Amino acid sequence: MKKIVCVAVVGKANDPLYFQDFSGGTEENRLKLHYIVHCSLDIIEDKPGVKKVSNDMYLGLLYPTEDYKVYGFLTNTKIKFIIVVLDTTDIKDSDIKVLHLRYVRTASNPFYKANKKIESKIFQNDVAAIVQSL
Amino acid sequence: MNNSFNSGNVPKENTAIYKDLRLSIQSWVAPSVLVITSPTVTKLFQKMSTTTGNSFTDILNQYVNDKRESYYELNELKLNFITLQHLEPASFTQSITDTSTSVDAMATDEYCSNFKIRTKQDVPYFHKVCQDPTPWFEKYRHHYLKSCHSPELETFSHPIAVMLIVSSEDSNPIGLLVKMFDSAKPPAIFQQYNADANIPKIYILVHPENSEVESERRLSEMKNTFGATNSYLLRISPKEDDGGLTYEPSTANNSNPLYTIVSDLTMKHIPNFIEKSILELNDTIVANKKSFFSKMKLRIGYKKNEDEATSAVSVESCQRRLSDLYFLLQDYENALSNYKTLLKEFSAEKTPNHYAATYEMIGICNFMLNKETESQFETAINNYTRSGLNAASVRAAMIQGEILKRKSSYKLLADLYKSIAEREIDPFCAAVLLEQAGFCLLQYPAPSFRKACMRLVLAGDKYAEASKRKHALRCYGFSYGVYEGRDWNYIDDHLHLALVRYSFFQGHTSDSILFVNKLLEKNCQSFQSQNSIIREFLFISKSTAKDNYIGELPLPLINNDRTQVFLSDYSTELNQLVWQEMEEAFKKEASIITKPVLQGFDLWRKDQFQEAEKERTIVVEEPITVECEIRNPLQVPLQFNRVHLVATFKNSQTQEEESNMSPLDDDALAAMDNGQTPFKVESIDLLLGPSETKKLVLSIIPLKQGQLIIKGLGLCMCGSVWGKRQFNLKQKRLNKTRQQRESVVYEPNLTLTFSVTSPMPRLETQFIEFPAALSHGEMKQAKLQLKNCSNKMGLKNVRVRLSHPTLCCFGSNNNDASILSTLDSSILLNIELPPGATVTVPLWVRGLVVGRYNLRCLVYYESEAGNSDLKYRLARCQTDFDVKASLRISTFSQQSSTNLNNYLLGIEVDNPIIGGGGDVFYLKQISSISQHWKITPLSYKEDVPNNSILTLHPGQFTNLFFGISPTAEQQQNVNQQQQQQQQLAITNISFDKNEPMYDSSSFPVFQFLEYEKMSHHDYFQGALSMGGAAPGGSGGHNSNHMTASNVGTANSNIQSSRESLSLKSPISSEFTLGEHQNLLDLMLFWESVPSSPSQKLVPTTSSTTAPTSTTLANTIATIPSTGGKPTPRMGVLNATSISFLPTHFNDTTLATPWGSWRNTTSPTGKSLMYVDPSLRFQAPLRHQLQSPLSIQHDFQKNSICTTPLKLQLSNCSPTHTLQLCIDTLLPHENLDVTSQLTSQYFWTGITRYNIELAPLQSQELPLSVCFLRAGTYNINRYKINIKINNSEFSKDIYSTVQHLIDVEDSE
Repeated sequence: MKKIVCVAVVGKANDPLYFQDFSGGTEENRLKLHYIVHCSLDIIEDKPGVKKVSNDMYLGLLYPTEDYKVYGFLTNTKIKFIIVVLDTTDIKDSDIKVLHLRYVRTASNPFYKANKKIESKIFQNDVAAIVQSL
Repeated sequence: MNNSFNSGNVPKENTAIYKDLRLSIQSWVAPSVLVITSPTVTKLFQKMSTTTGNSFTDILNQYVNDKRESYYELNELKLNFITLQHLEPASFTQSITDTSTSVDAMATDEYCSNFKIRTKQDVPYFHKVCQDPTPWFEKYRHHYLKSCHSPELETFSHPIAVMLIVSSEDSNPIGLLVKMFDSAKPPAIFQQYNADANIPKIYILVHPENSEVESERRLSEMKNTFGATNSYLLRISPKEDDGGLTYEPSTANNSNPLYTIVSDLTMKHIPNFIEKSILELNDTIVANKKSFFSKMKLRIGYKKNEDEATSAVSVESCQRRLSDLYFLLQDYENALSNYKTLLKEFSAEKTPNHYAATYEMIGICNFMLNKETESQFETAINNYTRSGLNAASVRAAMIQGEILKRKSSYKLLADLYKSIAEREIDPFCAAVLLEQAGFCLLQYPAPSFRKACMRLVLAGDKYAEASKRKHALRCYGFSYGVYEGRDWNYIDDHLHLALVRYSFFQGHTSDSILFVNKLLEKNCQSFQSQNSIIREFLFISKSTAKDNYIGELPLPLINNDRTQVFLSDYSTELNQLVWQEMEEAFKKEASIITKPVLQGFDLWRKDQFQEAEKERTIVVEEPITVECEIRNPLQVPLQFNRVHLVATFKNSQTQEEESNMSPLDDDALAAMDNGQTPFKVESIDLLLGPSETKKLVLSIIPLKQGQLIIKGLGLCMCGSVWGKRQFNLKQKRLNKTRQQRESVVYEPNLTLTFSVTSPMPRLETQFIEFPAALSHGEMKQAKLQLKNCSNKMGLKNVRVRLSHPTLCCFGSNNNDASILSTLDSSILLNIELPPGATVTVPLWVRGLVVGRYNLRCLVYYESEAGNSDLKYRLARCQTDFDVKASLRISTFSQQSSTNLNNYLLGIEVDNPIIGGGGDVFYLKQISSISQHWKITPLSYKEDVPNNSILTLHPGQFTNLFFGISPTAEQQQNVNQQQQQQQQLAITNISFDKNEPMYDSSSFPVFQFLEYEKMSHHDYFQGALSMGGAAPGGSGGHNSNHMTASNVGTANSNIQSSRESLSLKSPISSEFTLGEHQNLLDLMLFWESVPSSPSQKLVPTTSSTTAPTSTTLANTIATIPSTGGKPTPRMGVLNATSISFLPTHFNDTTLATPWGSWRNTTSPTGKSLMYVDPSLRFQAPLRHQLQSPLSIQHDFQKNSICTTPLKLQLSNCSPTHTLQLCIDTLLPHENLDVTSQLTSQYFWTGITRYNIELAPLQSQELPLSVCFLRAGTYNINRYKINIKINNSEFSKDIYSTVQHLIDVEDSE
């Protein structure tokens, strides 16, 4: 069983740009992960505004659920990265920064429309690679 | 009966009980009275309860609830009347379920009508408008507490008294009463829960009201047996529904027998018993507490002698019972201290259930005493959970919840409810708790509305599990707002599916279908789930639709951008735009558009004059074809039957509207076939595979006049549900007026709206025998076939417009030719077509510019009968052809040095290798057309010396030279009246004397020349505006005057002007004004045999006539008769508007500077000019010295030879006036020194003139030159200073042509 259960990128308008379930679970489980990611937006919104020191976008552990822990990352353009990991493990901010880097690379593609769904194969592979490596 | 007691309706004042948890606890913790009835009595009350719905215990409870009497310091002593069944464990689950139904009546459709939370900002408003979203919760809690009991842990449900009821109808009432409850041998349930069986008994005899004596007798009998205080008689009247037992507060209490019984019970029996019990229990506890040993003994003894359970009661249960009794008496202080003592007996490890129950009671006592409960409930809940008593933990949680709520610690509350709800408990209960948890989350200062909605969704799921559909729908509907339109696909799917189902179950069919549409819009479900969704959709639609028609269907998707409409007038044509220009032109011509011409201030409000777009007019009984693209977004195949167009039809007279938005079943089809419908549609069946896109072509035929609007597609989905899919074409956003800018207004899209008009003829057109390829300049004949497809109506007024109007000439000869007057006008064909007739119009095609052509022809026609709605109709046809390169001509012109008014014309003909067709061309004839000029051959005199100069193989060049000289009548006879008429001089020079000549002035050669000139029209347009207005200089416009001279060899036919008389230049008068005398058009006729170049071309002429000039039409027409041989081809290359006069750069009508080469027949149609930069400034002046070429002079006699000379000056410009200053120059002037010696002549007489030359004026100036000795002199030594139109600028001109005079000494 891998550490990371799910990786999601949520856009400015709180719509999912990217959602990948790595748990390999049932549809029901995936639905639950959707709900978990969606709920974590509440917590991200509650975090005290945009920080003064803008280079630290890592939000840390958002909240623990019974089985999972949810980590967040909020960019200055209000793009949220949400990673759900198993309860038994945790991740470092460097891990999520790698993800952000991949996203930046994807978003730099002139064919990518900002705040639209990420359909890039490369990004998908990158994310899968990150998940595997952790 | 009295309304206030109908059990279903909760009286309003009672809700206060539910709100206050204290009251709820009190009503739960109340003495229980066991009611045991004999079978007869049970039957009797069952009979009554069927009518009122109240069981006997309910009736009794009514007496208790409203007691206002204060007793024993109790606020309100309540009694719970129970039956033996209540004590059974199975009854507990049943009562929980009953509880859930008890709040059904309070369930609402929405928490708050017309309000959904979408964003965080909505939350405060929601709290404002909806303070209590779940009013049923407290009632549910009340009932839950009341019905939740665990008799093994607590003694509240243990009976404190027993009521034994028999009827006088029983055979032995007394004996029965004795048997019914025996304290020595109590029912098994008493032993199970260790309950005290020595409780007061009350004996009641039910007796009919009518026989009073009999009942008194029975009562005394009972009193003897059971004691006077314990025996009661209950008289009932069988006539009344509930036996007259219903409690009525208004009537005197004494009148009702039950009143006495209940008040005796509460006043005497129970207090006495409790008092006795407390004393006994205290004694037992004190006795057992003496030593640790005895305690142990007691416990062991209890375990050993289970049979004697009544006597051997453990000290813990005694203590518990004691505490509970204190609690019953609402002596919470005593109860609390007792519970605390009891707690020491239990441990969390060994007996978590007792431990939890005790902790719970401590908590409750603290709560009742308004003390801090600290963590007592948490401990209780945890231990209940450990021991598997989830129902009890729910109860503890509910109380804890209330405490937390009072403290406003919503976060803890939400977590508590949520964690409890996740246990294995009754789904309804879980749902209620989750719902509460959700609303608690909204109470945060920073509300987690997403989490709250998630809780509500979970609550919805639980409600659904408990089959409480109304509750479920409310939860889903409320939380949907948060997720709606945000792309959370999985969540959306889950909610949509739930909403579809529960909307349907609740009868909100339209909502249900709406959500199905949303569900299917996004294709992210698996194959299986889509399959089931479709099936569910079909089922729902089928069971709800009226007449099996559900209106708008969710599928298939229509690609609205690709929807196209074709009328019968048009073939399938993708690039509509190409035709549009021609269509617009016809519209203008038919003056359909009545656009006002706006001027001045009206321009500011031009928006108001905007012509509203009108719907298209179509003809009745002619089909409209709609092409559309549909797509199946799903991963399952979908079947659609009888897909057809759906339309509404409005009768223009009656204003009645009809549509076919109903199933197109067999009946409808039959009605359509019988002509009962205003229009006819065709239908097709199709199967759309997963993610498949299909293009449909459907037609509709209007059968009546009126307005027809095509709405969309009608279809039968999967063979069961009929519905439609509407077209939703793009509409223009209006943004013109202020009103439009302030709101969002769209222009109606009229693409699918048609006005159906009366029958019209329909024309079909087609090009026939149209050549696929032409050489540059080649002419060929083709035909345009017109067919009137209508068999009723004739048509007239046929006009034609071509995409390339200069490529075709309609007609076969000069008489029937239909000529274009301007490039943007249409050609009127003088044709009328009766119904069903076919006409073929001959036409000539000429390859004008090399390239590939798609020749489109738009034919305009009107109905013979006339139609006010549709003035005209249009028909289209088109054909493709290529124009290949053939010969190239370059021309060159120069001044003749021999004659002031003559010019040289050089023609270079080139058969290029690159870009050419590789054919061999034979030059046949050259013709010039000009107003004032004719040409004469210079390269040869009588006959063409060598035929080879006229045969051009690829890569060969030939040069021909001609002289240009004025025609005889030039500058004569200015006839103003007939100025409009053309005076054209045509010179035809044939290269082959044996062959007849082409008539270059006849159809279609001349017309094509004119067309070609017209196509350069734009080029001249600018010139017209500058120089065109000066016709003064142009020569006489002698009407109909045409000089034609054929400088052929053998028979120079002077062409009579017979045909030419009728030959009118189609070019507009405006254009002819620009006809300058300095213009000459050349036509070079060539022939070629394409595949066999060696073959000699023999154009056969009709032998009967003398070899006269034949028209081209005749010539070509006879050629095919040669048969078998490849058809010889002929063509004409036109070199138009060759200018040759010296011109001033300013004189734009004569744009080509004199003396330069011009590539006149570039295959690309562009005129290339090679302009010598030094020639940029040119004066429109010709000058020439006139003198004898040789002079005999005797120098001996007269040493000075004076010779008069003439300097001829001619102003070539038709517009400019020239100011000239002529100076003679000495031979050496401006020359080098050495030449002084050789040139021994000088000028005498007047050596300077200042003259002015009017446009086209000529003048001769006398000059004298003196020679001193014999020799040959070049006397071109003069200087002309020219000013044009008195301008500042002037220029000196020197003669560049030698003028030699030979002076001989005639000694």
